Amino acid sequence: MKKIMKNTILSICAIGLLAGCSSKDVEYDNTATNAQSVDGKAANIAGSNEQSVDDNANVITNSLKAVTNEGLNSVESEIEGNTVLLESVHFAFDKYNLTDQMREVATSNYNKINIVQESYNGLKVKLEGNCDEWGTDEYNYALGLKRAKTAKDALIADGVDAEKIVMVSFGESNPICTQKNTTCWKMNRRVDYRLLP
Amino acid sequence: MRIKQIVIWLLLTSYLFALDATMEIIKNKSTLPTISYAISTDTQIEDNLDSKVLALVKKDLLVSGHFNNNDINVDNNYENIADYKTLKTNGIDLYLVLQLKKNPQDNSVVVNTKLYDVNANSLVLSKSYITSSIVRYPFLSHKIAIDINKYLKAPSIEWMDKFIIFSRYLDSKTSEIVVSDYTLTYQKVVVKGGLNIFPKWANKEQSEFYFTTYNYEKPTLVKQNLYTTKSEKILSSDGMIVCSDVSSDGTKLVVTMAPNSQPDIYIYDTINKLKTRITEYNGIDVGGSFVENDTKIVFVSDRLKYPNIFAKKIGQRGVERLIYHGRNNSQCSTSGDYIVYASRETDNEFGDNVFNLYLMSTYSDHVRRLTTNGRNQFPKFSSNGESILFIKNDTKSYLGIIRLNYNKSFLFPLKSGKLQSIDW
Repeated sequence: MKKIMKNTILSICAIGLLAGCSSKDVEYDNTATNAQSVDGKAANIAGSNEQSVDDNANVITNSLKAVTNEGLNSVESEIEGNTVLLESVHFAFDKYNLTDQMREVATSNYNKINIVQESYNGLKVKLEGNCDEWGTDEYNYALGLKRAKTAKDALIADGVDAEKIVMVSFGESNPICTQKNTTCWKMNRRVDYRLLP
Repeated sequence: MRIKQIVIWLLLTSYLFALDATMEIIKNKSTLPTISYAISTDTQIEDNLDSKVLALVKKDLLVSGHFNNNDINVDNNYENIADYKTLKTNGIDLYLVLQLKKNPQDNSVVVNTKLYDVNANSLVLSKSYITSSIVRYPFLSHKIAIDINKYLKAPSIEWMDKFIIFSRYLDSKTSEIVVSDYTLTYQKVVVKGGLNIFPKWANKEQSEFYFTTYNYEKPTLVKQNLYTTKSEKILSSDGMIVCSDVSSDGTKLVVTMAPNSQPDIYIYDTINKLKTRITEYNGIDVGGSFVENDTKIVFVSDRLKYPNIFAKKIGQRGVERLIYHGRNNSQCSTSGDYIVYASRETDNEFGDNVFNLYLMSTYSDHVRRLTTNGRNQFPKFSSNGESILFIKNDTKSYLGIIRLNYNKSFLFPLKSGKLQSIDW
């Protein structure tokens, strides 16, 4: 009923226009001096603000290795000539709990970190949570953080001091595989372990 | 007299439409006034600027939903009176002529316009517009369209002249923040270098904006002035930090952050520099926005083991579930009492990867689906609540606009990169 009323109203409007208007209210503003500038705010936008990118990994070199045949990947950290390979832990779609298999990977990482920390007391572990592209972006950043938190809890349970762990979520901004298939998406649902000085 | 009647009817019509945006759809396009366009014969300007300006005016009036476009050939000498007879014969109600001139001294561009009411045999609007830089020509078009629409006293389309701010991914951990017009035709990069995401206007004037940068030790929320590039660190947090909404007076921010390794929603008071924790669930709480005069927060949570939309009164304990539809609703935006949310149509990775947008009111159970296919995400209401801006990511990224009262949507492609988030 409402719709019919609206259509009637619109029809009346159109009839009004078609029938013509007797008013001759002309809005003149067409001399060059009176031209309306459209520059406004746009004319004054400053140039881009170049952000400096901090790189605090100046002692340890981290490089991400993608091992595609197993659908897994790992981060290789080099400390004064010694190489530490920490496997990433992977997650199911939209989940942030570790499977038994991934819990073993987390423990394996702990064992390696524990050995290195005995030689380098101030060493920290950075856990980077990542997601596949299937989510909405802000939720994905939170999901990546929950994955990093799960990996952190596993390290603490195994014996790492909580103060020696930092976390960050990259959401879907840090894919290691950009193909559109389930293997690729699985690789991107991960937490990477990096060593920091 | 007739013009006044038309105005009253249009105002009444727009008021009725505003009553229940989830219910009413206009389907009879034939009742809209038909407008025809021409570029004057004496226009000579480089880079097809005349065609570009005209094309955007047409697009604007099409997007407005208040006009039908119909091009016909008539004498288009700017100094001559319109050929009313031919125009009437072809069913044209309004006739717009554009004349473009470039000043070789300072490269400024002037657009002179004449709008004729064909049925009244009358010139009803004559205005000129100027820009000092050709790249800003989209704003010439938007201003012209706004004035034509205003002449008819149709519901406002002033939002077309506002800036859009968005972040686009360029590479892994690399994105930049861009200011554009709503069609993405005008673009200017305002933040680049590293990962810079989730831009959000800090005030109605659009002179400052918040964004998250990963270029410090921790994810950091920064406020930057659009015109001076002066920036200020607001907050930082382990794990993540996102400003998802700003109160109507600009003094309070809804922020998702994780100072205790736990993503929760906080309100940050920019006056006394204090933050208040709003949610305390041991899972994911994210994406909060103010509703009901900034007294309540609507947010996304996985407290039912899947993402869904909830609400919480500020200062009270209880949490209210808002959506009883879908199994993966992970994004929402509010305007007054209305909520628009993105819903994944399947809840597993092997299902169709379709995200649709839905509209509902906090006072009603009625849900209206706004999109039908593809990945439609990141919905944001316009300031007057009549339109929704959103991101569509397929093989390309698109900025989408849904005109709620007119049941129309439009897509504008991003030439490079992938849209990360938007605000307007």
